[in-house]
Amino acid sequence: MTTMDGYSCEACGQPAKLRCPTCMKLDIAGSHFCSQECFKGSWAQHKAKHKTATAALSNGVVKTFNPWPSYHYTGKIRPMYPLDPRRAVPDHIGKPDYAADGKPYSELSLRGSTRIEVLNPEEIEKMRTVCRIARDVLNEGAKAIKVGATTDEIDRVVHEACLERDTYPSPLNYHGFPKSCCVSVNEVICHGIPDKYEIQDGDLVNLDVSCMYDGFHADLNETYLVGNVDEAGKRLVKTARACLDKAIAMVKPGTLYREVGNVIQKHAQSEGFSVVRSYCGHGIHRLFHGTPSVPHYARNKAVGVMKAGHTFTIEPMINEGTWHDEQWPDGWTVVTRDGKRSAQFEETLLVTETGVEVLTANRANH
Amino acid sequence: MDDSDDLPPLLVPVEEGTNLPDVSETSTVQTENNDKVPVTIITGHLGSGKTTLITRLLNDETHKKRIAVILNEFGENAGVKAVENLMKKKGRFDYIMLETTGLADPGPIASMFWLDDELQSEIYLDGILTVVDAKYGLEQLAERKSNDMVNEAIRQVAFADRIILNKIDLVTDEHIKDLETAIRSVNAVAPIYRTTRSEVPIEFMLDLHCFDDRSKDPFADTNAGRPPSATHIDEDVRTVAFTVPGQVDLHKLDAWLQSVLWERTVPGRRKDTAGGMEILRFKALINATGNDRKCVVQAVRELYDKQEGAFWEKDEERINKVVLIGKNLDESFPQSFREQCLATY
Repeated sequence: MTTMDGYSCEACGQPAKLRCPTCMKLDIAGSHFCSQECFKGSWAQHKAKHKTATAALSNGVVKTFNPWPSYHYTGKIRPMYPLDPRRAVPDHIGKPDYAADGKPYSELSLRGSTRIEVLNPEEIEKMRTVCRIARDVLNEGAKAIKVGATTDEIDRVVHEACLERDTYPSPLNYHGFPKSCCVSVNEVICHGIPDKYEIQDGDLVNLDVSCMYDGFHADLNETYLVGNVDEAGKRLVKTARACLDKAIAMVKPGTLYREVGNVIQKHAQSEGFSVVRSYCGHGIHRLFHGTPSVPHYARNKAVGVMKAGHTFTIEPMINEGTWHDEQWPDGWTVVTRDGKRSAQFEETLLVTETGVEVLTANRANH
Repeated sequence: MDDSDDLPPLLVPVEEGTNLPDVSETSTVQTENNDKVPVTIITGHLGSGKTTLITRLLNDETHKKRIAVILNEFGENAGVKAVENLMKKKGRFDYIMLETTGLADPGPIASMFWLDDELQSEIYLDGILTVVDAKYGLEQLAERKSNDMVNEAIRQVAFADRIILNKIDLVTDEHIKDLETAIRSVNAVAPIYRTTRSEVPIEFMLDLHCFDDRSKDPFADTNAGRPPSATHIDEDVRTVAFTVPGQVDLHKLDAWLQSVLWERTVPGRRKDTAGGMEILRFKALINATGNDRKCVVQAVRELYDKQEGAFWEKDEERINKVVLIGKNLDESFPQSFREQCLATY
């Protein structure tokens, strides 16, 4: 139960557990009352608040609001609602099984299994194709990351870039996720829902893009520095990338999935940072998320040995402060418990006979 | 705003936390305890007496524990995070009993609650209790599933760390003996407690430490190690228990475990038996090279862990004790273990 510390009645000052519903709709802060009686008594003065707010709205001022005003946010980032309505995907684009009702039936049917899929050459070729597409979509989305742009604007760019490529944006309606990509700023570790937040100078913005094309999924993300980022922020982002690169360098047949986390945590700690433990890399192919589960922290019990034909992600989330995370009441957004920043990089990988092929590699860099 | 402006609307409550699952609890004396909170999984067929057992535990005033009972679907679906959040919101408990549905397979639930130490969770898996109905237990164990899968009653017995044979007053001694034989043919190592109305001493059920470094002898029951009974209920699931003298190379042991648990192959097995091997539960006490402490190995299906346990006693025989409970196990394990795991073979 949420604690009610701090709310007092607008009319009499006594502790208050009720709120004016009109003010909530108009996103007017406060407006707590102890009782219907007290509210009725001050109605004549109180309703003026509604008039002012309504006038501001009709003058074209775009109002955003924090849908969970009583939630204790760990840092400065707030959800900026309302969310725009769900973006449409035309009929001709192939859709995953969860597109209609949010339930990934094929994934749920395999819950509890630890068997890791070995892809055949034809399937691998499909993975190469969708991973190339996803990389291009990420790069398109990244161009939209600038001071003043909303995260929802980035979502629009990503969504349209997917449609132009006859591709389904995998996050859309996955377990009910409302948007086409995840945008996670500063203390948001992952799964940030694109909304009306305006990107600020100095922000660390992670853009996580996943696509489905011809029945196969791809998944990658990068963290971008916006404008003037302080040295600590730059070092955090650099370390997150290095953690991923060191982990990728281990990938070859015979490597245990449980060893990946040892290497990542060792490097992160050597730079004075911590590794998020609640979210793992994952198998990816016909399923958006499948086996293996690849923890990024050390001394884990992950099951499985890498074999040629396995496709999976590694996506370490590296924090400035504590590794502990918590989730917003939206059921998605994951933030650091101390409000300090987090950075992440992710690639989709294929284990080859001799080592690894980074399927989502940025060809622009090579 | 329209005319309704002249009438104040009905106030709404300030937003409250998300809905909490149903939790029954006894709130006797809350002890100050900074240790982790144990979770015991309790399984058993519908009508076996799980609920009576838990009710007794909640009403028992001798233990002074604040016990949370989490019912079936909640624990299975919501998982560890939800239980942790529950503790955050409802205050600390001393003990958590996770009561599964009658038809639950304890394997996936146990895997879910058997957390990596690195996650520093406030909760840890203590053990799995299975209640067997003395009257219907034999029938339930014998039930065949159409798809050749191991039935739930057998799985529940296979995963059990302790077995409670309930309602023995309803059957003859002969029947009890047959049922125990059937249970033993599946799980030869879990101690069995016979009772009438779910009356069980608390020490038999709680604080067992079956999954951590305080885990005791895997041969918890004296019957362990004896040859499996000829009267198998289900030919497929059985216990293989053996001892091997000598020092074990832990790297070799890792490779062996990965082969057995993950690849479902017995390394160096001479004869090629039918496939379909599946380990449900594995326990071992290992005498590792150059270590004066016992190495404790646990596995639930593919998930395994090696931990450093207590020091070997001065006069204790340093011997490796291994228990496998699973499907389609053959006699090749002791030899495979000797050849593949010992430091010098």
